[in-house]
Amino acid sequence: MITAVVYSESGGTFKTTMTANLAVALERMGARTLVIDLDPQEGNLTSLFDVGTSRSDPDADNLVKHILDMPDGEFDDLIETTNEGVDIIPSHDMLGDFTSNLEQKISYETGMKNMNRDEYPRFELLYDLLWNEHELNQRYDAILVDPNARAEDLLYNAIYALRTLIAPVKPAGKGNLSLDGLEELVGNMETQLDIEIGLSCVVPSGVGQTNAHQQYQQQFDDTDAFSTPVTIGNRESLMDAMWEARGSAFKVVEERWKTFKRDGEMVSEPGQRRLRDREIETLEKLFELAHFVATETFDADVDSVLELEVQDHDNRRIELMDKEQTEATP
Amino acid sequence: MNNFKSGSGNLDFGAEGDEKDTQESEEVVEESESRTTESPPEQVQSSGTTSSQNPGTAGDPDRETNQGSNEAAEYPYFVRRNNVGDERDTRLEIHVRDSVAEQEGRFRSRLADELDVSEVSKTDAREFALLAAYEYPEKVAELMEDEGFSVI
Repeated sequence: MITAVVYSESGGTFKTTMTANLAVALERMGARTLVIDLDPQEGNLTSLFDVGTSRSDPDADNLVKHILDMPDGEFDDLIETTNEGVDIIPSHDMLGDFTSNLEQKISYETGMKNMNRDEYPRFELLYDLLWNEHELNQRYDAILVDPNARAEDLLYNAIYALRTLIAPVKPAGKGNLSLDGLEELVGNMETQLDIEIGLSCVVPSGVGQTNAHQQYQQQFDDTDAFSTPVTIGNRESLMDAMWEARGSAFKVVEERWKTFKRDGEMVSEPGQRRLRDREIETLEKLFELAHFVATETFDADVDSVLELEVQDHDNRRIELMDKEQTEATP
Repeated sequence: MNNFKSGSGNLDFGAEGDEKDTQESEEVVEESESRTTESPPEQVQSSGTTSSQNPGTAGDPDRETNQGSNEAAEYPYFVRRNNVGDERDTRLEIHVRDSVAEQEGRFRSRLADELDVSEVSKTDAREFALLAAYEYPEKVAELMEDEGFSVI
């Protein structure tokens, strides 16, 4: 079972595109994959995949109601399937009010049971829902969460439930890679909740060609505190086009989505994008990353062949090397 | 980086007997042998986890300043800057013909295409256009001569 929270201290759409690409890569490897969108902000995974039509309807049943154990419908009805085969539990505006809703519930329940508020297991609700109540581990091979960026109840619920993190980082104009905030958060959670949180890997992303960026990469390569299986280049145009294609970078390249100016207006269409080797290489890196997470972090059994069916081009077949045969375990 | 275990955390369903992390942690193997399908990995004592004691609060205010500033100077402009105005203290005003001004939009979108981004800011495009000219004065001379510079 592959379970990971894609966590980025800087938040933003960046972790969202990474989550989408990882999920689609895992699905293409044959892993039945579910993504859970816990980010209520615009530009989230739900809008990327063009699902969750009732996300703004306060009366609609949604994940928060299930986490708080007051559902308005079947849990399975929350799950939608994207056109790339990945299942998703979409975001809902109510996620933004999660903590206040949770506080109400805690007040009510602790009052009823005459228990101390501090004893309420406020970070364990998602865990109970996913694994105890609905046994999603029986139905999926991989579950990824795109969390809200703020360090609060929802994020802690996500980490408590999934236990493993993938951390995309974008090199900023500073010297060292800093995961201090993440480490502090994890350290506190581990002590207070008595769990062990794993870091699958750190993924330097948006890395350019300059010497400085190469130095960053060297820094990542040199550290043995965590794994950095791949570095993702600066592919702004490819990642931006995901919002037009309503899907992964794989979809963008295969359907050749491009945004361009026509008669003074910006339009986005499939069949227009030039096939670029560097973008194919990025897809290969994303696939390799998903493969690392699946095999190295979780010892799962997945395909290591990526088939790309690019519109109006010959199909491409990318076969990943079997790491275990070619190098010693790190 | 002491808090992390490199690899997966201790979520463990014990299903299908797949002992993840065999090469990393023997404790995890012990746990998976208990083969519990749905119970939590361990009983959790969650005292002291109210919102007022959220994990992950507080930051070391000194953290940001720990990195030496001379270190930053090693990095190229686009890496070390935070926004487009950084380090650009000199203001150059240029007067151009309409036909030249009109070409700038097309130039920027072609430049963006070359750089594989959706847009390049005017300030960046202009500064580097100037730098390009500094590097290729012969090209600049050629353009000027095309417009009759040597005639005067």
